[in-house]
Amino acid sequence: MDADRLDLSALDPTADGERYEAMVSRIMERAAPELRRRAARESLFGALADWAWPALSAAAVLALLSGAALALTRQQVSADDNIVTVLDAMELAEPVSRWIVEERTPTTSDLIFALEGGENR
Amino acid sequence: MKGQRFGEAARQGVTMSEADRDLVERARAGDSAAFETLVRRHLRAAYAVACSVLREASDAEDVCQDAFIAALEQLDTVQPEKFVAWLLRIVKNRAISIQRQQQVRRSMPLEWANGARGREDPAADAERSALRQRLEAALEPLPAKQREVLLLHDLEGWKHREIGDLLGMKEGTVRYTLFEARRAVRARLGGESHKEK
Repeated sequence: MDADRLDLSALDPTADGERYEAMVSRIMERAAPELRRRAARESLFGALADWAWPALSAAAVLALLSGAALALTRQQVSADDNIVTVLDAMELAEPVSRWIVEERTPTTSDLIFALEGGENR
Repeated sequence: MKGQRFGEAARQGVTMSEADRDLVERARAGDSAAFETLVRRHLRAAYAVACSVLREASDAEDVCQDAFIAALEQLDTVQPEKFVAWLLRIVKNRAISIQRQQQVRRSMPLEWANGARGREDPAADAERSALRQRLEAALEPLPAKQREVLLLHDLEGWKHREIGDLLGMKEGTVRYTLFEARRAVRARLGGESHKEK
């Protein structure tokens, strides 16, 4: 099939090198503003990408620390709520644990009754 | 011509679309050298398509320039491996648009050499100019589709399949269209400029 090819090289725009180069130059001149805009956009995205990982890492560490602190605080509150249960676990004599819960200083008579194995009120 | 078109990519066995992909990605990022390579790689094909619609060289040049700028501005919308087909569609649409606007104007023959200056060999230039005018006269009466197929194949070195993909034609139809175009041109040239490659 190539043997049938017509010689159209006289129509080849690259045959006139000077004019061809001028044509390429005109296209590149007109393309320059758009290429600059694209390059600027790319560098902005690049800068954002450079900052993204450190920022995300810092946020992740902060989130972990916050979570840990929150968990510890909840544990503390839970321990305060369970004070009666702890007293029960210590198996103190009933009058003594009552004084602690009521935050009351035992009177002399309370102590005598307690020592005698009696029950004070 | 094919070798010129594919250049280094062809020597490395890389297809045009594969070679374009990287260039398109870089041009999207504003790489001027990559865009210039795309321009140099496809300007001949763009010019051939523009010339298949328009008769005046300066109009074809303007259409090519506009098409490359439009392509750059819309570069984010194209699949990189389909760049050339997309670009040539832009060229063709713009050329048709210009043609419609200029229907009242009388078509002038292609005069690529009008801008020539400082030539080293005026005799060779004159000979080339005469041959070009004869070719233009022979091509002018062809239907646009035949001109496009003929220029893309015999001037730009595209394969039948590539032309078919671009123009939405079956390969067999491309072959037949090319055959018809060549026969018509040869008939008008009287067989004088028929050169076998």
